[in-house]
Amino acid sequence: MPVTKPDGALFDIKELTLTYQGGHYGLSLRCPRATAYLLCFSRQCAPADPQALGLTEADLQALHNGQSMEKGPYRLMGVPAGTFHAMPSFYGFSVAPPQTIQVWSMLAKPGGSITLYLPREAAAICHVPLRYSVKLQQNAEGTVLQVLLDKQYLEHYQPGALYYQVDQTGPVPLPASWLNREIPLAATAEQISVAPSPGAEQDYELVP
Amino acid sequence: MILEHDTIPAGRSAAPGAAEPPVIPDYAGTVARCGALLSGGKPDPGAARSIRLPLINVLLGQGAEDRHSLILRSYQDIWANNANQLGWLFTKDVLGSAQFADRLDNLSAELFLRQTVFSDCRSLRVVWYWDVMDDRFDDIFAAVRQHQPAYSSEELFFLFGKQHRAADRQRFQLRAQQLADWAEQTGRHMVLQSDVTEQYAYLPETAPEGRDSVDNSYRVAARLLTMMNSVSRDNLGNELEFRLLNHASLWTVSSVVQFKPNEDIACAVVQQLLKESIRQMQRPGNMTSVAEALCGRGGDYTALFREYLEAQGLLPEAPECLTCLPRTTEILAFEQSLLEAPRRGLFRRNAEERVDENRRAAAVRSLGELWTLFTQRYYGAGLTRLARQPTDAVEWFKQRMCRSLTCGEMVQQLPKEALLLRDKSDWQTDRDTRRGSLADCLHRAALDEVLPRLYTSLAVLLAQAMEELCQDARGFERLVEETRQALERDDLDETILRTYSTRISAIAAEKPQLMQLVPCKGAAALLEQIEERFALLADQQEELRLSLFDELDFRAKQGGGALATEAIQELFQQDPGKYRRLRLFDLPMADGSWCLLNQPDRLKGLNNTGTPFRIPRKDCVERISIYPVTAGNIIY
Repeated sequence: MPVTKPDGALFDIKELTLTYQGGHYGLSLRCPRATAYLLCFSRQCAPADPQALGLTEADLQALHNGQSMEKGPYRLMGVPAGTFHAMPSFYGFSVAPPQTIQVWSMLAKPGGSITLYLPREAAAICHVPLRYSVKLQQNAEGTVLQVLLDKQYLEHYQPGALYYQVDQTGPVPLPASWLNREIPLAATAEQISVAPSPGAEQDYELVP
Repeated sequence: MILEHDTIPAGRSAAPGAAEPPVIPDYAGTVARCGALLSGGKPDPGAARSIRLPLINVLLGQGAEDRHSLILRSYQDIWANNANQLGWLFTKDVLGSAQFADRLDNLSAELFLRQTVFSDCRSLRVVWYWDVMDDRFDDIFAAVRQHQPAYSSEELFFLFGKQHRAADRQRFQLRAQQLADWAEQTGRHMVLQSDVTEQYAYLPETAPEGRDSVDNSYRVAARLLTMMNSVSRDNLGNELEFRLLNHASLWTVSSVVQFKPNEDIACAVVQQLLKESIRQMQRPGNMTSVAEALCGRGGDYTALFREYLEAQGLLPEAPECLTCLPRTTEILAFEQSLLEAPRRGLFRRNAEERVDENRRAAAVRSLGELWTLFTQRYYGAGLTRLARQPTDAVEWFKQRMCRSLTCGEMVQQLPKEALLLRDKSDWQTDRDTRRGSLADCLHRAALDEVLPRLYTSLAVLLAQAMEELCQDARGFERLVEETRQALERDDLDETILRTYSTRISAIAAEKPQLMQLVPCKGAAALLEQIEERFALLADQQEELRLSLFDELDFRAKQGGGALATEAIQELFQQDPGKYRRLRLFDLPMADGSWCLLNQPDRLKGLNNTGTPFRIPRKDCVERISIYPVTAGNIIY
């Protein structure tokens, strides 16, 4: 079976960690026996089920050799284990947050056949959040709020994913057109808070 | 007459080639379910008793296992939800004898931990419900003989057997004798119950939960257990326990029970409900237009829609955070205009009360997409709910139309009205431009946006309700009459029929909407609706949920019949010998007789009733007598 569940823990992805350095995201993990990894990038959709992706043996072969391909809403990228572990963290991928990355292990058997292993228990998954910052400027009339987001990621912003709130009154959802601009509010800076809406917490991260 | 399995009348069956087979209307089931609602079924929770010792029930043989739920229900009558915390073991547990002791131990340990359920966790009670006519009797008996009761447990065996047929009697005799001998040798305590009377005749069973004689024996056994194992200040259970567990090892029990005739009452009520409904359908129509009939003078559908939105809580309220929207230049200008008195206008007073609409529109426009998102979040709930649950609105509209239109009017008028509604797309609200705070004005602006969309959705649903109703109204009157006839019973007690027909007529005059049926297709759908109507009636009318005693008195006052005292006296005067128990050569004088009922003070002045034992269940009175017997005294 090209896509199967392993019997033991040898193909489990362990200690999957997302790092952020110098404006780039990196991944590190531990998996003793894999000969390659398959990274699956997705946004605003359910995590992928490897068995439902319709991967052929040729696809697996290509992915094992380090190629990339699209399968529906998912972007797949194969990384040979040697390349992945050449440095403490692997930075050789591009990501446009907010995005979800699933990682699966692969093994090339002596005959040349490739096996993609399903996670046995919890899936190896990490979220690359879209980073935003908040600027508050108090003046005589109240406070000017600015919610700042990198312009290159603005197109991925979901309307209403971030909101502002004054004290305990209800949240006011923000559309993309109200980001990176001044929002004059009749409140003190201490009264104002900005947060991701429920369900979007993993996709957005506040940069202090 | 109630038809057990009627089919859909000719001409009303599903069209040939239709995918779904016609549903068979369950007339008897409908009456039974309606009757169950009158049992005063929600027992008085304050009267529920606490369970004394942890109790494990061992059900042996198919007959006993089949009555698991019946036994549990009998426990629940007295112990309410605590009855769900008891332990249960079955034949397979006992026949796997190697593990039985372990299973019993584990279960006991589990029960001992439930100290909030059982008031005394120092010992355990094990009760065996044993169908001795089961084919595996020899294996079961061998396994039971091997079992050694733990020192801290008290055991009681209830043995049941059918012996109505001669062949059964021989088998029953053989097994009963074996068990009686074993009980005598080992000092085990047994209650042996038979399913026949002195005359080898079955008695008609009136208990709603006991459809045959053997069922009744199991129910009586469960009742004895609840008496013995309840915490009671009057110590009635202790006396029974002392008798059963400290004297003779073999007993038999007889019982006499009277239930409130819930099904008969339900039948009479349903009959009258249908008659009243037909009467409503036949009332002369006086409609000028559908819109006016539904919405009052002027025939403004938006008034009807607003009534629905208010009734369902779908009319959006002003969110607190309306005051926290961005203070754009336009918003500030609009707010300023609200604070300033207008300086122009011929009708100065009127001008003062109105907002500057241009400024309001500019203020809203200045918020752009933020306003759209905001109104979606705080004002869009109604639209979402209408889209998700359209049937709620359709049903509500149908109810409203049934209140105002006759079946004839539905058939004639509704199709064109539905077309008009579907064609209309420009639903406007009267723009509310009154002055107020900034938040008030923004709230009204949001309503002006969302209400026309809500009205458009509701108009489509109203049109759908009209089309469905028009279709179902054809021949509905005939369907109701046919259903009424199918539910009719010749053997209904005259006093019940008279009392409840009069009462339901009076309710119909006072609250006609309670009798109102919505046209539907097929008897099965109608029966479903009758059950819903009936549940509403039973919930609202306390006299339908009276206790057995109060119901008898109610009927005596309303429509004749015996008063409760007389009726109960008559019941207890009957010869207890003819009730189910073992046949004996001579019946020992029974001084162990209990009367289980909800209102013990109603027995004052009655003789021969036994010691009263209060139970939470209101719709029955039961007398249980126990007799010690010897094996040689039994006639098989």
